[in-house]
Amino acid sequence: MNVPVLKRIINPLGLLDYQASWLGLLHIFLWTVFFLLLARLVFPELPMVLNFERRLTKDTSVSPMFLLWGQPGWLRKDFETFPKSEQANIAWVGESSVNLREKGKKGISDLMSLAATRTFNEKYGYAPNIYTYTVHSRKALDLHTLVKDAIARNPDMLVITINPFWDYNSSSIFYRNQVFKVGAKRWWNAQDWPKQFLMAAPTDHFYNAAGQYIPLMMAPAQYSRSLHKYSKGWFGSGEVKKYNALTRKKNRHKENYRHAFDLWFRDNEEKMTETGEDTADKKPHNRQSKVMALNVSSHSHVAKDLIGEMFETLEASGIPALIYLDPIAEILFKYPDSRAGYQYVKNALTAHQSKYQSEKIGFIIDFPSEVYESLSFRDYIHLSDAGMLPEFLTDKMHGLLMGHTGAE
Amino acid sequence: MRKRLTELVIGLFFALSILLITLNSSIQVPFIYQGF
Repeated sequence: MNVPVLKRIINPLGLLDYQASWLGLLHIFLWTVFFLLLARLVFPELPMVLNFERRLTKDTSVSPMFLLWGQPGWLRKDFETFPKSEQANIAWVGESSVNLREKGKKGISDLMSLAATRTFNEKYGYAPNIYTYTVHSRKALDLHTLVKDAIARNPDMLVITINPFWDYNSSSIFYRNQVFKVGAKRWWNAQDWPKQFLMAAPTDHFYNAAGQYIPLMMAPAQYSRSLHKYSKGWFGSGEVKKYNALTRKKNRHKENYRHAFDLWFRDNEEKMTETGEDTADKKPHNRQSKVMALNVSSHSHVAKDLIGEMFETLEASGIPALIYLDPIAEILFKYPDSRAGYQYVKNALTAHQSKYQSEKIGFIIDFPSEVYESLSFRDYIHLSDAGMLPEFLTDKMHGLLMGHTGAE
Repeated sequence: MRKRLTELVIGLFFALSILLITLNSSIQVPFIYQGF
């Protein structure tokens, strides 16, 4: 390094001779804030775009709550509470099983909420507004956060889909899910405040707080992906980057290690890397069945406790709710450890049912055999044809809306 | 005066660093779309 040259550049700026005083530090801080706010004027504001469900739900009474991946905050902010309407507002906290992929068609062809809306119209002559909080491979912390968000927005009813693979699974409780970090503001209450310090890293809080005012201030990966997708000019290519299977395979082992807490609390991480991979894996049946087995092998009940807290909040809110356990293909039970895992979930949910079932809160754990026989499974849990399931659920939902008992 | 200018430069440096860090383009796999 040529020090004299550097000195000639730096000296006029006074950096080398600078002696900071407390007032000086305050000045520096104020200048930093000033330039950041100036940046807000310069950098592109991201338009709010709803997630993939918007294509299917256009012109229906179903509306996604999630923004496209990468948008600031992830959940829509255009209303604090669900808009008042003639029809009831239902918040559906669903899992990937609510997405139906018809055989022979590419991608997601239908949503359970849409099927329910059609059944409502046909059978009862009205269609409530359904706001969907669908997260794939959702874990207990996400479920906890989303239910709290839904309750805060004052719906007339909640529908909660419990996925026996993931929700009660205490293995790798931080694996994959991200919602609880951006939804941590829902934890500022007497029950949850310790989680602010244990389960979200300081940077998450920073991004959540600052991201409301400065579009650039969201988790880096989110914004960069948004730039690739939407922006032209300085930063974006202007074209949508296709996220294909090859890219997924390449990025398979790039975990979210940005935050130290993830590493501390990640347990059974190797098991998950081996078994819980994305859909590029060639043998989904073995992979899924192993995840089910992890319900028991983690020897932890963190997820069950979190879901218990979720039910406490639900009961305290007084909002009617329907909770149902996703039906799964029983061929899964050929694996004894998977069967044990499923039994653990069923026992845990049954215990919660006996505690929380009431006139307002209904549970469905087993479906009648004619409903179950009408389902067509694509794998152990995802459906190509939901058969009589939407009608069965719609009847229960209608009952709860009308104030009938929630008991089965 | 020079002191104020220095402080401005340092503030600008901090702001740019923060902005560059947030523009860090290590792309994470979009978990929310990964079905299962």
